[in-house]
Amino acid sequence: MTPVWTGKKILCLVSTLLLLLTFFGNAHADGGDHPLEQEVAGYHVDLVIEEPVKVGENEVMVKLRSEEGASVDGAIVEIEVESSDGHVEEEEEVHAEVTESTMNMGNDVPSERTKQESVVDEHAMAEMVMLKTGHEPGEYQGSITLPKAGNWKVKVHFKHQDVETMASFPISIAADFSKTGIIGGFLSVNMAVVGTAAVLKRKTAAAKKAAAAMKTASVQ
Amino acid sequence: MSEIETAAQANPSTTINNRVAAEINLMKIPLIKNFVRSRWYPGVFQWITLAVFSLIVFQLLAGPEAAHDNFGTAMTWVLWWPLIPIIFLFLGRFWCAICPFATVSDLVQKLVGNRRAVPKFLKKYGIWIIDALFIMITWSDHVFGVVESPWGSGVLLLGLTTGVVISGAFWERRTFCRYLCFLGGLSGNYARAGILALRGTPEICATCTKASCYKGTEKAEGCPLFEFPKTMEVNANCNVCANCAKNCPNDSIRLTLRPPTKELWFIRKPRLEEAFLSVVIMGIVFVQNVTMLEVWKEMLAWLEGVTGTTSYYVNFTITFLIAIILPVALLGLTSLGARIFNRDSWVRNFTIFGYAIIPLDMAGHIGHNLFHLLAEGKSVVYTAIGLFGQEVHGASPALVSTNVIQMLQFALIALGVVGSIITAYWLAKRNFPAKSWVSFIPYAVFVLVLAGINIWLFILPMAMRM
Repeated sequence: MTPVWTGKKILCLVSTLLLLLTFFGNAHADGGDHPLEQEVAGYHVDLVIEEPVKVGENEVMVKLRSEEGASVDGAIVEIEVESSDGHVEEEEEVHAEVTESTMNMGNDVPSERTKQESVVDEHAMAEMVMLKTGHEPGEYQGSITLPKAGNWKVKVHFKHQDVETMASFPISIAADFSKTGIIGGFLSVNMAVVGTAAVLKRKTAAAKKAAAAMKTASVQ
Repeated sequence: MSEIETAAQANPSTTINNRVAAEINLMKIPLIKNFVRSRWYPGVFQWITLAVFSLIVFQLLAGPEAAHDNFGTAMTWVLWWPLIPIIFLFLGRFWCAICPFATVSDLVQKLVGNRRAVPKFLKKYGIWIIDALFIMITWSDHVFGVVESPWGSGVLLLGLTTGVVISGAFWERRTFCRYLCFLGGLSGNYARAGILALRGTPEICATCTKASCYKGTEKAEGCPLFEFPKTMEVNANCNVCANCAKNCPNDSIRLTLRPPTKELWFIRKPRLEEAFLSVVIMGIVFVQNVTMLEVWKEMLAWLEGVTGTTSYYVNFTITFLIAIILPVALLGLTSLGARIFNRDSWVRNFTIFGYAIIPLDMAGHIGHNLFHLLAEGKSVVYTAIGLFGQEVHGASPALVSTNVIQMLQFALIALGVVGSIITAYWLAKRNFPAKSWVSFIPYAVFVLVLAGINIWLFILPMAMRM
């Protein structure tokens, strides 16, 4: 008797399930850059973050231009990450990849920021990440770590010609349901495989039993 | 030449008997014999590794996003991965007996296993599939950042789990471990150079007609890796689970110690795919070293200038291909050179002497991973402390200084060179008795070139994993 489920059919079934899993696993993948713009104190500030903004490390680039559109070179650019409720994430949760050095920019120059912002800055000093000069004039790059999903403020502090300026950009990270989807996909595939194997095992056992019964009957 | 070696050339089967008689049999030690034949072995280790594995997977998928805070990443890539080639050297494929993936496969098989025969194509192309998987996984690791990403590592483990579930559900024994596991292919090659060997006693097995070791009994399943100790000549597919020892009614199974690399000297049926894997591993060691060098970013920038694209996929793939092809091409060229002297085909030369690279592979592999183990070893403790809500700040993860690590790496490469050169010598002597020296010298030079590349890579400063 030819078995209904041959090795090839099993492989086809499993391959199909794995392809489906791959599809669902990649369904949320997205690409491209995510530019944010702001005009502040006569400067045009672009914050570029690769999309999708994700929990964990994100590459960032800051582009600085003057009002006339000229690239602002030689600025000291730092970045800090703050949750949108105003509390700054703890030091260990914000890491810099390009440089481990931090800088206390606010100590030298009197700040024009509000009192509330200054208080936040006192906490934020250690979390500042200094960006490296980029490939093009006026570009500064580095990486920031966003420790969890939610609403964040990415604050870009820059000092140019002894004037310190800050631009704040809101960033949102949706809860990552794709991860749940991938884990669910794996579970589904494994359960489907186990389920299929269980059904096949029962069928094979039943077929063997029937064959044995027929053999016994023919002997009698 | 010793009597055993003279006999080896005259009659290989007699030689095997003599070699067995000359080696130390650990099964004569009652404590070891009773333990490996008991139902606790290897189960007691399997349950421990399965429990740790579950914690690791949970941490990778649901733990801290940053690799340097993740216990799963530290356990997998700083502790387990560096230790695994050392385990292969001293205990053969023992890891495969207690591997959590194999345990999952066994559990699924017991529950719903259909125990079908292994598909023919797996038997025929298994090692080639392993070669391809090994290359693909290494490439994916770099392109998708598997090691640096706890999530990526978690998905890799889930993928492998799915593989063993499928295998356990439909096919007999440990089909995945024998024919598909990329680490199984690596461990098979390394186990040949290891110091532990399991064999049947030829005189006893010759009179046995039961084959309980292969078929299994009520005491234990048959060999999970489809080996038959009666005819087994190599350790590549023995995971030292001792099922054969439990099942054998004649007490024939021997567990012996031997000089490292010795099995490679007596390879009787060399296979191209295994030789290819051994030389590919050398390429993979190169890739791992190159991409962790501090100059890697500069090299990448240079490559971007040459290719005209900043795509990491493109530039890494080019580097990867060069690193993989380099040792394969060098072995191919050496084989073409050797062919002039020994008049055999270059493919056969490639196939035979590919095995000579295995000791240097192990040395390079262990040497590379030694950096991660010794320079980042304490991160395992730090991340474990993190599981209990405590954090360690600013402490160095290094167990020893970089200078000590470098000296150990050089010493390992020196040992690898000795192992590879001795192996090449014996392979030349056994396969080309009349032209052994002229066959040996090209491969000795080849081994020295590979060793030189390894040493050069170890001299350059390396970045850390965590």
